[in-house]
Amino acid sequence: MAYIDTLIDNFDDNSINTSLWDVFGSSFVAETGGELRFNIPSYQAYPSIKSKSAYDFRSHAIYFKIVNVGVISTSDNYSYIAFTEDNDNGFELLFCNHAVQAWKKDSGVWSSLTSPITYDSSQHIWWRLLCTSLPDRLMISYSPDGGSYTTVYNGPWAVDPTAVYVEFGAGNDGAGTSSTFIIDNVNSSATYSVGKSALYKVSTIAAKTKSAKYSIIGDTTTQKAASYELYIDSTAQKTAEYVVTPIVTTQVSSAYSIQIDTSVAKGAGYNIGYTPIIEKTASYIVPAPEILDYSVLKKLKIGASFGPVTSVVLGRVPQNDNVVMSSDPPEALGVSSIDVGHDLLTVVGHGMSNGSIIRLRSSGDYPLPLQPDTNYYIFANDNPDTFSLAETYADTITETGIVPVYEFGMETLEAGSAPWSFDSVGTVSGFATATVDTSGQVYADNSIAFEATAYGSAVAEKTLTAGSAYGYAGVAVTIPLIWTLGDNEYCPLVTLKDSTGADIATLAIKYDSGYVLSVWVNETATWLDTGIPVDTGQVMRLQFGVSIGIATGYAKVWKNNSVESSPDYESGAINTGNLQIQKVCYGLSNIDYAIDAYYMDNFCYNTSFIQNLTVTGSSIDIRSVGSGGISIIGLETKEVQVNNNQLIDGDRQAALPNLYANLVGIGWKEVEADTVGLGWHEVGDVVRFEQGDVVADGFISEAHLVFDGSIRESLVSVIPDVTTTDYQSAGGILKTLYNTEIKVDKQENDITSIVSQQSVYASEVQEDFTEVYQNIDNIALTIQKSGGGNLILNSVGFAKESATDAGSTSYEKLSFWDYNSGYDVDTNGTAISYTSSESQNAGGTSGQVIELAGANIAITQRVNVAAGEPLSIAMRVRNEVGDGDATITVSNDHESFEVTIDDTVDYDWEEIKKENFVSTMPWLDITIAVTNATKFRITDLRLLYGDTAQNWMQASSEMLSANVQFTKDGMKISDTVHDTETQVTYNEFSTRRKSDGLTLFEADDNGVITNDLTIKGVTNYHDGDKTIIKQITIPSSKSMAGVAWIKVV
Amino acid sequence: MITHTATFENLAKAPVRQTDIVVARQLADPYGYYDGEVIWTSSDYLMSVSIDAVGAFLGTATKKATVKLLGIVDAAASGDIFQVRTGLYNEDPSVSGYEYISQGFFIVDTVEYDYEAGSTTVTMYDHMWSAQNTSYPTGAFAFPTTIYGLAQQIAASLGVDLMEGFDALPNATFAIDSDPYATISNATLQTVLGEIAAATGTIARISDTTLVFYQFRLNESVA
Repeated sequence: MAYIDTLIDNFDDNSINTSLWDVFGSSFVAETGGELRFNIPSYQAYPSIKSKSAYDFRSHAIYFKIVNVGVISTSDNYSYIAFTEDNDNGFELLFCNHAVQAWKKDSGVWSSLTSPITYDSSQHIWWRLLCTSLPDRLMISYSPDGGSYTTVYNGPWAVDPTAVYVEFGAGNDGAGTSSTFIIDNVNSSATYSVGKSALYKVSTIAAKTKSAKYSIIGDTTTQKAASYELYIDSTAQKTAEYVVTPIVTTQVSSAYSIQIDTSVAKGAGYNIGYTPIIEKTASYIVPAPEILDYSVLKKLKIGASFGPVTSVVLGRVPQNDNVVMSSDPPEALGVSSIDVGHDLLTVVGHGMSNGSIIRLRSSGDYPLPLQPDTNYYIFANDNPDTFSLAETYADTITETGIVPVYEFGMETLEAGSAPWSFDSVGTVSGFATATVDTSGQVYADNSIAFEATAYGSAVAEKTLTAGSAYGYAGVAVTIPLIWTLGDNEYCPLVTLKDSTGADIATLAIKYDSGYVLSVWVNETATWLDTGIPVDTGQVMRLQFGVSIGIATGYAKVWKNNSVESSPDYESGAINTGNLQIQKVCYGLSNIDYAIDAYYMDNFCYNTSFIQNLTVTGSSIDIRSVGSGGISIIGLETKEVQVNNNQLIDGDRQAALPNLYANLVGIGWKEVEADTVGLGWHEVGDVVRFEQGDVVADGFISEAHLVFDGSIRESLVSVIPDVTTTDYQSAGGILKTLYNTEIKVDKQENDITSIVSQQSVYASEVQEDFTEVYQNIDNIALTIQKSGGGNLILNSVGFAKESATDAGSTSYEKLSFWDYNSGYDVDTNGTAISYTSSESQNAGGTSGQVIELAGANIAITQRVNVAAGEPLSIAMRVRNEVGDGDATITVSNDHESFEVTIDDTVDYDWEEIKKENFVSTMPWLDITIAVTNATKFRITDLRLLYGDTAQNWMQASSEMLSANVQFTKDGMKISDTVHDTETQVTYNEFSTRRKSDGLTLFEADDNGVITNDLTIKGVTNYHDGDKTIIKQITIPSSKSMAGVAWIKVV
Repeated sequence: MITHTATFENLAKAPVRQTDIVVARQLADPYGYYDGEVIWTSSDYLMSVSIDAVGAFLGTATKKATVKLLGIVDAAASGDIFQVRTGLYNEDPSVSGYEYISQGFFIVDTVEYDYEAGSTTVTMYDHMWSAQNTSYPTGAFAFPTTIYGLAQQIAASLGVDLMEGFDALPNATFAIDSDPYATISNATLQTVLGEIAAATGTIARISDTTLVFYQFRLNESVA
């Protein structure tokens, strides 16, 4: 379906274009003086014009000019512009009672979109209605000059924007007065009102240039125009060559015309100069690259590629500006489904964000308009599993240009062949004249002709059987018509029916004045948005017919818009019922009745004049949709670094987004080419080189032109020097940005020196820096070291010690954690720790968990912190539904933060964190408490300095594992082979057997040896001044036991 | 690209072409440049003209014209400004003669006389070369300003116009509080233009007498 901005009419030919408009109340509507006028009489009348076709509004806009709104001083007179989906759904701009107001009609119920706005004839001249997409939103704006628009409504779209009819009209309910409503320039003001300001600038420069005698003014003018990225029409340019004095705008306006058709546009930086044009026309311009092929090339060499750029970094590093590339593209992700109604693709857990670039892969066909080897930009939404696609990065930012993914491939149907099959031709009856040709040979290949005489009884329709699954079905037909009588109303129809024969939708090919004998008229209608689901084996019916009982209607249907130049149809019978129908049509007293669906229902089907003829066998186009075999792939990282730029170093964060939007997605190839001497290329031009199917986009970095009797031109496109950075192998750090800078502010009389390192991890950014700030009064030093040690000791329970509870029950206590006051294992519960591969599989780092179970157990650790410094706490927890409540509390006398684990929610090692909080006191208590817990597990508990929670790490004063534990209190080694545990502290050195707690060796600071202490050697002899003792045993039986070594001189 | 008409394009692609080249001294007045008396054409002095342009992505582009003249011609001196125009003859009788495009305005750098061969070689560069040879004038530009404002001041100091639409470029309104080049000893105006280009995602070049910051723009696909 054509977009709304293709509905163009400047009303300049003084004849209403009946191929665009249906006219109702034609005696009151006239195209006069280059305008469309509704001449409302002093009696009741409701003239209007309505677009013959519906238009697709999505991401497109319509604008028009109201030259004279007419009499709107009472409710008896009004003017309006309506946009309708059908009889019961639409919206309109209503001018009435001195005001303009937007209304919508939803399922037949009217409601206001805006409040009444007092009509201002000096301001409310140009109107623009724009549909943004995803979600579809409607913007209604006005402008006094077609330049700067003021928006009066920006809200939800009022109807289905995919098929909208446009209607202008005015009325007098009988109590009003005569009036004239004048409109003009429906999507057609570009040349006049759009280019005027830019035109003046170009023209002014032309006037200042004095090179006329060499016929260079025109060239200079066009050269100047390049700076505006505008192309001066060559014919008009000739006229302008003789303009050598300061000129008035109007004079040049008539001499120049500015072409905004980018297919003929020349010059650089189109988007700059086109910006005002785009704004004023609500249009979208995609520049077309210049293409050089063999016809103008002498030599062509294509090399390596650069891009597309996927990321931009502003850095300050001790190296020149450069470009860094990094590979390792992500794995392809399968598209599980496509929501054609909302242009959404589903890739579960795709993890992408707005602006991410992807390409498509498919094991089969690609759903049109999506193409392989083409960059698409992700437009994410709140659902992490779905996204839409846009063709440019800018579109993802402005929420426009969403690719309508439902527009899938056109599939040509051949009569009687897969994937659709047609039943037999059968016998056509009930017609005075009827012939059916299914041979496809008579008129054109792939054609089927039918001849309809709208006189007689209807015949049964034929069926179509789908051979494959299709998402949606539709019809695109071209019908050349010939009519035996002039000035008759006719309305050929194509009706799609379901398997039961019920009408689903009907497409009226044309409804307008007829044509005289032997005049062929092509009536093309595309009907693609039926929204009809089609499954394999489903039977559909397609029916062609002629709607009214008039003269013989002949229609021929074939694909590819191929039309016979010398048709040999003959005329048929005559029916005069059309006169009565005309009265019905024009006699409608309510504008709503002019909405097509209602009109067709009541006019075409509920009258006795309807006659249908079935076509049997044809070639039509059916759209298909499917997601099978389609996957998306992210692009390799192609990073542009702009380093050491003095201008934007002061605030790189502010500069980066703008730059990113401009650079992302670009890319080109290394090319060397010699042309035949074209001579207009400059460095920076983007040129597409083609050799057969090989296409290379080049970014001209060198251009050489030689004139020495002939013209020779060489163009060189080089790609930037690149450095490959394997971010993936950089210890988990994806990228690190270093910054060393000294900022001197002479106005503020201060100096700031910064040394920073910013590391980007998979999901977090860590920035360490030192900053020295010096002014006349003092020097301030700031140090931020994010990450570092965990402030919680024994945070996952590696360290344990034997203890006895209040009930004298021995238990294994988690070191550094305090338990409930009067802790009793039986009463309160247990707190144990153990290794857990399960937690690691779920993303945990330590592999060690603390498990709390019981009626009421709480473990607490007081942690010393720096007051006023940002802190973050994080952990992973597992708690199944019904396992009891748990709370993790961080508190002191002033602050308290609490995380509650609800036993009605299932936690599967989910990471819980609270970031960027501050303690006003130099300590915090970390408490983990459970009530009625079956099994609450926690791992990777950490309290860290910094405003973001880093990965788990141990405290800086400890080194803990399952068997070896160094803490601030000493060392403990667990030997599972010999079932021993050896501990060294400041006052103890001991070894115990773990199974029964038997002390095998122990020394403490009481001077008491509780076991025999033996020091063993390998021999026992005296050697000069040394005495070698094989073994010394200090018995433990005597409290005063010991050994003394006395030196004997 | 140098803006040209569809007619010129058709003439350039034609199998048979009649070419012309004009090198004309330019004089300036408040309304712009106009031709002086010294005009070399391919039918008199010009033996050859070569134009070489080199530039870099997110940097600047400089254009050089080497004009070789028949005989010892002492009509050019360093600092003179010439415009080079290339023309193609239009066979259409309804239009008059050659259709020209401007290859740019060039400032004479050196003039070499080859007495043995009897030729004169004039080497000229565009205003970007002038920017390259102009040290950054500390204190000459007003701060605080924006990137747009700085570009305007540099264009004015070079004697060229700044392109229309600069204010629509990325970061054009980025604020610069103080002179960032005040303490950099070896900065030139070209250095600053290059950094403006990098900050705005463009390439800086001189088209005739207009300083243009050109955005990379193509359809978004990559071959």
